[in-house]
Amino acid sequence: MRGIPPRTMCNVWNKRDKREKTRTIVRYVPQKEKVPKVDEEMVRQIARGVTEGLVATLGEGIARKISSSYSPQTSVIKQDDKVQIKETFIDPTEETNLEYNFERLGKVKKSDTDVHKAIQALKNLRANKNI
Amino acid sequence: MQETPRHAANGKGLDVGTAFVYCAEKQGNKISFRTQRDAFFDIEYSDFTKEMLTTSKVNYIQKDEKLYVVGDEAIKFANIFNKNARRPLSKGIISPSEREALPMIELIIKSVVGKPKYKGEIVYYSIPGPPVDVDFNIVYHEKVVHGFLTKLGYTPKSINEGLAVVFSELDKDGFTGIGLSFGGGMVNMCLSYMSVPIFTFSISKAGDWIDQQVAMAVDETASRICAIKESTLDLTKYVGLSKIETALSIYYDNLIEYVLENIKREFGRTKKMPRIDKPITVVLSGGSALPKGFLDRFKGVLAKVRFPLEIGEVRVASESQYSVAKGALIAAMAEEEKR
Repeated sequence: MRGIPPRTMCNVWNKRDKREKTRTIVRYVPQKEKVPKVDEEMVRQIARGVTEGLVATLGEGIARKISSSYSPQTSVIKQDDKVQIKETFIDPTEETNLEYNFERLGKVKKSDTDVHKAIQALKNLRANKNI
Repeated sequence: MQETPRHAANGKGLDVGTAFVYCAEKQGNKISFRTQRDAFFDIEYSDFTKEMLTTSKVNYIQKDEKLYVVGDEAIKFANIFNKNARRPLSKGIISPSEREALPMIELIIKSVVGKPKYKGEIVYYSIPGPPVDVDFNIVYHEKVVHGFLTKLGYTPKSINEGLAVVFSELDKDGFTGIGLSFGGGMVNMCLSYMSVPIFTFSISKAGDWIDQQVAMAVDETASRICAIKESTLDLTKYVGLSKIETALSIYYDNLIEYVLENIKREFGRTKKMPRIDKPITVVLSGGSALPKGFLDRFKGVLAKVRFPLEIGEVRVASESQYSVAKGALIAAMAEEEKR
């Protein structure tokens, strides 16, 4: 058996003893719970969060009711799972159908400025083929 | 509506601005300017509110359970509710973030420009130049406004806002010089040589930017700052200013510096700079150039900037806020007379 060191039971036991000696025993020592200081701002934030949450829940409920009354009931998806927000926006194409209380808008100002000379000058310049 | 033109004094000029829409037309020997603020404010519908608005002669649009107050009153309502009025245009073009921009601007344009005197009457409408400090183009805006005016029965033609200022103010200079329009959403610049626009561009900071910056600095709404700016601002004063006036003064200086630095930089970049023998005139126009002392502030900053062109006279347009509409009207009437 050349090349292989002879292993005796003694060696094996020695190694196991060493391992056991080095093993650390960790005991669980329960620590005292830290009592956080009462932070007024935090309390306010929590309260606000609760209020916002409540409002959001209420809002969702209302939105669900609205959407369920508008949507067809034939849908396979449960209506409760859908939250639709109803928005009122003017469609870009429906300008002519809008109801408004004016014909012409805006303030009117009359000016005595003479634009005739400017028009003639511009026409003359434009007529010049070199430009 | 007639099919053919009756007389030569036809044509209209339309300034589609971020803050206001102006329409200029000839009526007898006078020019009539119709102005409407580009703003609206929505309030909940109730019979009482509707009756109140009608009695107070407030312009509104009704849609389902909402009432949209239009024009100057929108700013007043916004200030009462401590909110900002909604704007169909932003930075000189149809606002991409405002869902109701299209019907609102169509209605405002329609009610300001009115019906054409005959089918196919020429209307020149202003468009901004290509912006140099933001990444967007004006094609959509131009085509949408073109479509509105065509629908109304006009023959619409676009004109650069800066060039319109040149047409309006520089006829005695042979339509050669720089036209600057300080509007609500943009500052437009045009260097014109004998009525030909050599160089045009726009800068995305203007009156609205001042309002927003001041509002942030002093914790107010932009609508309220706008109201103060338009009513009481005096840029000749440097001392004894309120907090809002101080902020407005600072941001006005900042805007002028920004505009001139941008013009200088763009002039430096261009390869098509004309050789003009004599010093050129610079005309300032637009609603944001209205406050007292604006011209001196501009001249003060200009003196510090090494400008690539020799500048002669610098002045504010005679009717600063109407300048673009007037220039557009001159273009329209000149073309109508050729017909």
